[in-house]
Order: sequence, then C-alpha cells, then structure tokens
Amino acid sequence: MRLQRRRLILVVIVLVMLSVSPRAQKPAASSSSVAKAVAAANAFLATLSDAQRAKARLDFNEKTRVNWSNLPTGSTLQSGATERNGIKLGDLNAAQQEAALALVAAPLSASGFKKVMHIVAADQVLEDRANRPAGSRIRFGRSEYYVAILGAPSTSSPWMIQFGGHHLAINVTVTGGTNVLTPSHTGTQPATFTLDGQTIRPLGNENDKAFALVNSLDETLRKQAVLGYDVRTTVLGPGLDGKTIQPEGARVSGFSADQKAKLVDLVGEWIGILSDETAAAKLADVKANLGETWFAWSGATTNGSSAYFRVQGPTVLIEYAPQGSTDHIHTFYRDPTNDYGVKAGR
Amino acid sequence: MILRQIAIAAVLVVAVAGEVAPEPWRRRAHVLDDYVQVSRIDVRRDGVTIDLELTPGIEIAQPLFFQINTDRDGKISDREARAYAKQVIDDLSLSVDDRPLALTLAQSSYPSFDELRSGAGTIRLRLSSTADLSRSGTHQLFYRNRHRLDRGIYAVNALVPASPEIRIAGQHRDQLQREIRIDVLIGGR
Repeated sequence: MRLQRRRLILVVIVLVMLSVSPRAQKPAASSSSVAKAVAAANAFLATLSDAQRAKARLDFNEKTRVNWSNLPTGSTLQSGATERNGIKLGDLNAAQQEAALALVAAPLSASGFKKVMHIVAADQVLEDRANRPAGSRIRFGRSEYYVAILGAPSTSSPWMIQFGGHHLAINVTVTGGTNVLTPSHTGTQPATFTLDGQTIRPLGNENDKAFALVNSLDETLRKQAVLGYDVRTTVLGPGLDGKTIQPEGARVSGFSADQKAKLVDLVGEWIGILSDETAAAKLADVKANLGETWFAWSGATTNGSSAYFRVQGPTVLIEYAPQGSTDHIHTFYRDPTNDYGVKAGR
Repeated sequence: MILRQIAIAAVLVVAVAGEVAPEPWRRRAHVLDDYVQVSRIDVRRDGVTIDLELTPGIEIAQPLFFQINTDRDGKISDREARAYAKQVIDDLSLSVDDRPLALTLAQSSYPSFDELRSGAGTIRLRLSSTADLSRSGTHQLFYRNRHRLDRGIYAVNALVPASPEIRIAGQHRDQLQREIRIDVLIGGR
C-alpha cells in the first residue's frame, strides 16, 4: 500500500511537471475578453447592410488570414491582393464606425487601443499635410483603415479580427479562451505630431525603452548587441510567414536582472496591445524563455538617432526599423510558434 | 498599334514631367532616392534559394520603370521582366566552398507604374541555384549583391533552414550588407 501511494505521488508529480513547459506556456484563459470580442463582433455586424456584411465578414483560412500589410490603400499588398480584407471606415456611417472601433478595442488593452488610434491619427496627419490629389490611387488617412471579421465569432472556435491600413495591421486571432496578436505590424509617420494640443508619439515608448535598454548594457554586452553592419530595414515583414532568421546580437541570458526587466518591459509595448490578462500570460512566456532570447542593435545608441533593433526568442520576434529617418518607423511582431493562433489547430 | 504606344509614352512622359519634383505627399510618405534590396537566403542540401525584394524610392522609381518597360507601353511584360531579372542576376555572385554557382530566375513579380511612383512598389525575384551540400561537415556560402551600388540599401540574412540536418553556424557581412559569408554545418552538431 505504501509503495502504491509512493507511485501515485510520483505520477502526480510527473503530471504536474509535464503540464508546465517553459518553452511555450499556454496563455491563461481570458474568457472575458473573448466574450467581449464576440459580443462586439455581433453588434458590429448587426449595424451593416447585407452588402456591407458580405465585405466585412469573410472565411477564416490560410489565404484570408495573410492578407495584411504595411502599405497604403491602392498598393498591391504582399499577399497579392489589391485590397485589404473587410470594409473601410470611410464606407461606414458614424454609428457603424463606432461599432467597428468597439470591435477593434474589445480584445485590446486601453493603452493598446490608444496606440492603435494614434497610429491612425498619424496617418491622417500625413494625409492632411500632403494635399494629395483627389483621384490618386494611393491613399492615406483614417478613412482608409479596414476592419474585417474572419470566420464566425465564437467563444469556442478560432476566428479573427483584422484592423489595418497604412502602417497598421492588428491581427487578433480569438481562439476560444485566449487571443493571439501575431503577426502584427505597428508603424508610424510622422513619429511625432500634435493632437488636441498634446504631443503624440505613437511609438515613443518603443523607441525610448529600447535606447534605455541598449544604454544600460556594459561595454561587453553592448559590443555583442550592436551588430557590425548597417541594418536599415526590417527582414520579416508581411508575406514572410513561416520564415525565421538566425538570432544575432547579445544573448539575454547574460543580462542583469534589471536589464532583463527592461527588455521584458520593451517587449511589453507590443504584447501589451492585447488585454491585460492575455498580455500577462504572454509576457510570462517571454520571461520563461529569456535564456534563449537575443537582443540585436544597429546604429548609434544616442536616443534620437536612427537605429534598428530586434528581440528574438523562441516565441517572440520583434523588429523595429526607421525607414530612412526617425520620423518614419516600421515594426513587426511575430511568434514563430503561434502566428495566427495555429496552435489552436486552425 | 504604334499610335497607341506613342500615346501611352506621351502620357508617361507627362506623368514623369510632373514627377521630376515628386508631389509633397509622395515625398513625405516614403524614402526618396534609395533602392532598398533585401535578400533572404535559404540553404538546402541540394541547393540555395534567394528571395530578393527590390523597393525603389520615388525619385528613382520612374527612371527604373522606364529602364524595365523598354517598349514604353506602361506595363512590364514577361519578356521585360525576364530581361531586368537577368540584369539583376548579372550583378549577383553566389558560391559554395569557392565554387561559383549559377542563379536562375524561378519566379518574379513586378508592381504597377502607379505603385512604383508612390514608393510603395516592390519587385520580387526568387532565384535558385543547384548546389551539392550532401557532404557532412562545414561549408561556406558566399553571396554578393552589386546591383545599383549608386543607390542601394542592402540587407541580407540566412533563413533558419527547414532541415534539422542543416545549421547556420555563422553569418559574416560587410558593413553595408552587400555581401555575406555564411558558415553552414551539415549533419553533425
């Protein structure tokens, strides 16, 4: 009997250990944000005409989910499509736009939704400053942001919310209990502008936290982190799903506790776009994998300089790249193990 | 047919004349006079594939389009696409273990004139080469891109190989990423 009890205890211990894998901890259930997203999706769809609904809601499959981009409306996207999925804000009335943005906000944190709308506002500034001819095929601005629902809103089966336009691709896969934000794109031009009397820097935190991190490294670590060559653009943008590059730079395992905290805080600017409970679980996953995470930098390390950086770990790949100037930034966020929430079996 | 081509060329000339100083909205939106070229190298045991993306800035996009669209009909034909790809390939070098390899065009896509003018157009070339990397041990791959050195902004990376038998043991680039030497380990770890 005593031997059987020991065996039973041993089995229980093994089962508990197997349920906690450091490489890819399953995000905690965030049923409130899932339910909120489902409700918001149904509410949005209810505002639309049949024709609008047919545009806004598409199937969720390997072809539709990859139709996102950094490019402005009127471009051929990296997916090959000439238009984003969904319906654009410019084709919605005020009430429909409100419902659309409530859908976008549903799986996001308050700060995440604010960042998204600041990126949209930046593009409107770009449009307003440009005095673009009315008939121009390439178009910028708030009215050119598209919202789409891929699949059927559900609290149990995977579906997707897409909100995107120039410099923005928020792709949230809702997988019946959790939400997945990768792959996504945040960018901005201008990088600084004034809105309602406030100075807005949509990616200001990303920039400042990165410079704080690289400047916190001692000479040895900084030499490892700073690549010996110029990087002036991102490597794994739209159209490059399933690809990954060799990690380079400094291994985070050599960082101090404070430096690791700074790196996690930096990564949190992307992960934290999602609701707080989902983000917390994902950040815990990143922390658990810091031993296999790399931080790479290219460019000067004085804040205000044009510099590229990359964070690459088993479940996170983030690139930040100025596009010719510090006033025009592209970033991409991927999870090589779970882009489009593929672990949910879609 | 000739009149149609003249008409199209005239439209393009007028469009270009208006583009000598690109409108402010285009000038602000995208990099002006750089030619961004991103190479991604995929190593397999039987060869190498290079995906090359070329994105011209708006100040060089129109001349580039006319360089490619030699019959001035406003559209890049298959023949013109292949001809330009050949020009690019002629500016590339690839070798494995000091043995030069020939690159051939496997796929390509070209943006429209309007997309190029906006700075949002990217030419995509997929190039392939046969190479014998069956021998276990360390191999060295060398790649150099000398296309449009006057305007080029380059990036080159090895992708993580799909085969677990192949490992990228090191990447060594020049400062401007015009060339890369990749240490490839086949078989052992």
